[in-house]
Amino acid sequence: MTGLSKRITIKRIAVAIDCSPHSRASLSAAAEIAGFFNAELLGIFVEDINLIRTAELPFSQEIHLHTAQFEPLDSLKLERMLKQQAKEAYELFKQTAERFDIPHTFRTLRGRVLAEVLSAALESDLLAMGRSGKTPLCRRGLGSTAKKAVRESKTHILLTRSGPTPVSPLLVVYDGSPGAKHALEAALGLARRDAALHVFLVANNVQKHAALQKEAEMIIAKMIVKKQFHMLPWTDSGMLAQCIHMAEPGLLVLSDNMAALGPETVYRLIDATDYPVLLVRHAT
Amino acid sequence: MPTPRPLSPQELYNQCDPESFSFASTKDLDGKIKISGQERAREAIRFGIGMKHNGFNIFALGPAGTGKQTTLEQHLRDTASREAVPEDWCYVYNFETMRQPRAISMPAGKACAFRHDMENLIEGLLTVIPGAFSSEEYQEQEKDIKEQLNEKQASEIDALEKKAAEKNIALIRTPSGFAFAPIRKGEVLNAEEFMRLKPEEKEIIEKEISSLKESMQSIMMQVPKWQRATQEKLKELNQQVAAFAVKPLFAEQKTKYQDYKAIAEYLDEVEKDVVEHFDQFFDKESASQQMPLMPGQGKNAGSRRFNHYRINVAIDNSRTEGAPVIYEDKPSIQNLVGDIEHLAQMGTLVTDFTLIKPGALHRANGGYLILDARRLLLEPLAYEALKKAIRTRQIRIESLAQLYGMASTVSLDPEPIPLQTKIILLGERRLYYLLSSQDPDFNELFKVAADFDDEMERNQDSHLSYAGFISSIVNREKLKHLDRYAVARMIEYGSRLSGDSKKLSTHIQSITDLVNESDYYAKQNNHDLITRQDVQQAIDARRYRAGRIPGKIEDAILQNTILIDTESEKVGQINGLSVYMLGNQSFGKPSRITTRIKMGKGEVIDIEREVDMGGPIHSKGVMILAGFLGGRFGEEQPLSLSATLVFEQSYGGVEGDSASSAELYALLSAISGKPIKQCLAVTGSVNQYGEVQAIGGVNEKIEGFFDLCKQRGLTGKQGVLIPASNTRNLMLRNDVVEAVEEQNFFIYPVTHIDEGIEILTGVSAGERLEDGSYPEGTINGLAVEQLKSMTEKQKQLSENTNNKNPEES
Repeated sequence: MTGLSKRITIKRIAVAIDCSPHSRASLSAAAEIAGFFNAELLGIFVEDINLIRTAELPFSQEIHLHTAQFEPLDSLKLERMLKQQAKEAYELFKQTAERFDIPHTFRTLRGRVLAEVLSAALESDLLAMGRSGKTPLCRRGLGSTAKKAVRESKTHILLTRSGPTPVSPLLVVYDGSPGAKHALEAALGLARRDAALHVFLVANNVQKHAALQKEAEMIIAKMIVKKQFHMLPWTDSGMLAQCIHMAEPGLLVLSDNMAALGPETVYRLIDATDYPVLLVRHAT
Repeated sequence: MPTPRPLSPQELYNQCDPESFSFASTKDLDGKIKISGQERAREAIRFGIGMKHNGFNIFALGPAGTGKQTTLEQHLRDTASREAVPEDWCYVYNFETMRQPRAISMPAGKACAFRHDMENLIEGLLTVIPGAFSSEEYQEQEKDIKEQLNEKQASEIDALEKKAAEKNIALIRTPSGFAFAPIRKGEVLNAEEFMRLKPEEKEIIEKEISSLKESMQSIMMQVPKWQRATQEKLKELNQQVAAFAVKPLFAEQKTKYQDYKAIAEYLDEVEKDVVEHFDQFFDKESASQQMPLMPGQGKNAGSRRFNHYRINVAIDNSRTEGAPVIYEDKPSIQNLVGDIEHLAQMGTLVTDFTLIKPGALHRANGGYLILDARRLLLEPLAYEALKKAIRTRQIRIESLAQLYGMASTVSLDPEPIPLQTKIILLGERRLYYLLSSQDPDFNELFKVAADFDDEMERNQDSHLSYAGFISSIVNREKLKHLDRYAVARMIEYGSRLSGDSKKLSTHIQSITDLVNESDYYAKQNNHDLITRQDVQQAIDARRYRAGRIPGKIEDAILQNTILIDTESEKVGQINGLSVYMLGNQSFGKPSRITTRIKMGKGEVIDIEREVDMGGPIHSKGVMILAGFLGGRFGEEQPLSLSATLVFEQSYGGVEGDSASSAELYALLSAISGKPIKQCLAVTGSVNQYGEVQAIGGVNEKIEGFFDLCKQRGLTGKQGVLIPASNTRNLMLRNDVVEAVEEQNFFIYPVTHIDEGIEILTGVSAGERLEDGSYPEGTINGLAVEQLKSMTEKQKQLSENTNNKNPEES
């Protein structure tokens, strides 16, 4: 994500790291953005208090994923494992930050994962995390922590997935609302000049579509050459997800403060799509 | 008995008349290879080629250089060009048993096209299959199937999680799986809080958790089943997509080769395998990983990745006209029946059907294979392999290393190819007779013997054939042409080579060599055409080059190191003549034969035999002498003599009976006491009746003695006695003929020993009178007298001895 302009201001990026493939991807993406904005990177590793407590219970047993056998949960072993994971997360974080030559801080916290992440992210302008964590079984859509973070986070949130993450094309859902404008500006801020941009104009008639396109074009101005406007008469997350899938975006930029789409629709849309998402908060 | 007159110069050399030729030089001839003579061999070849039944293979026997191969090739060129072009053969992968590659035949010229089509098919598959699997539709379907599994797992776990949540129990994700724990206000109870709970509450929680764990276990245990089901679905989808994608490519090929059942079946198998292993076509990069390209391999051939879809063209008859005629110069087993080559990969020898190398039998299948019998027999196991192929009528490629356990790598057992080849072996006569007598299979497998003669009749037709043949050599070797006089000299040389003035040698190699050598001298002499002089120069030069040993011997004789008398007259001494063979050169040399007699019991002692230096034929000749003496002089009285015969200064052994007449003359001289003229030399064998019989190498023998006499100076008395039956063999050197013409040298044709002894001694042999006696003063008369005298003496001695004995007793 090099070649960014500075339409949005980011001084500090918090990255939740659990060493899962998704969180590694989010660390890379966050480091790249931090490098462009000269922002500081804050790495967060949370030792799940619920897991620790479970291990301390007298009857605690874990069911092995691949053998379906029961085995007592050993708290000491678990503590060692968490420490090892924290160390691993720190090494990964440090190497990544140094590669991009950015100031960085790493924190190992203990508590409820979501609460600790959100709390730490309050001091940052952007929270980066994986779409799902170290869940033993893969699932479609967002993981439970990411799902809650989308709803409860006060900062911009960047959700990434493992695997290659092409930056282009960017896709913005635009309905003319302040949140949508903010999202479009954020997308422009993150885009290279040669990147392609798809703008989904949520309009139920041609006139509105034309008006929205005119607005969007004014915002985009000459920042991006390859841009395409698409008229979307639907506002439900299912149809929108299908349309987004057809465009195969490298990054989906959304706001949860749109007029045409309510926040829940946006959250469902994020859950339904399997692409990196930048959710732009209007408050910041 | 009248003494024979010396031969006239005309009888010593059968000259070829150049004026009898209608051409001025060989340039006027068409230059096509013509082999004249050999009618018997030609007929055998015609018969052998025409017989298509089992075992009617041909063995062309005859001395090396007699044009066996040329004659055969000439016949085969005519015959084979009219025959049908045989089919092409390919080796392909056997999808059922990979160690047994299949052999497929198809009409001539199709194999290479088929190989090319299969290469293109692979190229097409490398594009079509990845294309089909990278399509959005496929990706969607694949993702959907995978997500169905995820959804199934997730929904089961979610449901369990919800059920647990209703009972204030949380599903906790541990590093290796799942665990359940009681919660209050979203947080798991710590150990202290839990211990503070009432026992009933703890019991309920533990019970609930236990139940949930079992439910989770049940879900977990179903996961592998769901995964299998998902894999099955994915496999089914993949195969459907692959089958659909490749169908048009295969349909095109199947239509093209629909008339060839084997190819159609093979294409079905390939299609099935491609669909089953479609994923191998995904990685095009590694597909083209280069290995060293072998000559003749096309694009993509460097990779061995798709070898099992490639075609190994064993026989390509696309450029063959008629039936193939193959001459295999090195008939090793590998070159005959083919070989399975190996490649070293990562220190291991590997092979596959593309490394099957066809042999000469493959190339000659449907046609003719010519092999040199001697070379075949010298190659280990090659003869046995050939016989096996002929007997079983199929070509089975077996690795020699595998057969003898010399290689421990896995090898192949390619499907045998039916054999329909006429095998023609070329070899010397003794090889044929040896095989015929010692190998029980040989006569069954090589029923036709084409016996090449090493000479042919000399007449006007054969002169013209010779000229035509010389013309063909000139054209083939790009030499100067020969004028008619040179051709005539070549013919005379051919006659001399055959050792018969009425025949011509069929040893075309010698003729070819002489033409080449004459060409060299023609160039040296700046002649436009090869002349008689050039040919003669080449012959003389050849004799000179080979003349070191004869020269040394001649020097030794001239210096009296070897004693040969050519002037005086001696009793019991005669000049015999012998021939020496050194390499492909032969020369004659005189040898002194002496005989001494003493009283004895009628035996003739061959000193050579006594010391094991005499060969059996020579010994036989000497024994015949005893027979002759007994027959002539022993009817009336016992032979009371003992004669010893020896080849003087012979250190290398004596063989042959060509000196037996000379030995008899020496004996007669010794018995009769009449000296033999040493200016004459003798050759010829003799029988018990005193008839002189033909011998070999007469020309060399005469020339050998002539050369010595010439060195010492021709006196006008010197000469050679030869068997009269050898007159037709005379093709003497020009200087000998000239000496005879000038009456400086004489050649006497002798038919009986009595003629010879008269020439040698100047005394008549004497014919037997009615009373059984011989005229006085004749050789026989003197001999009888001498023998009588010896008998008397012996009798006297015997009586004296008998008289003494009683007194002593």
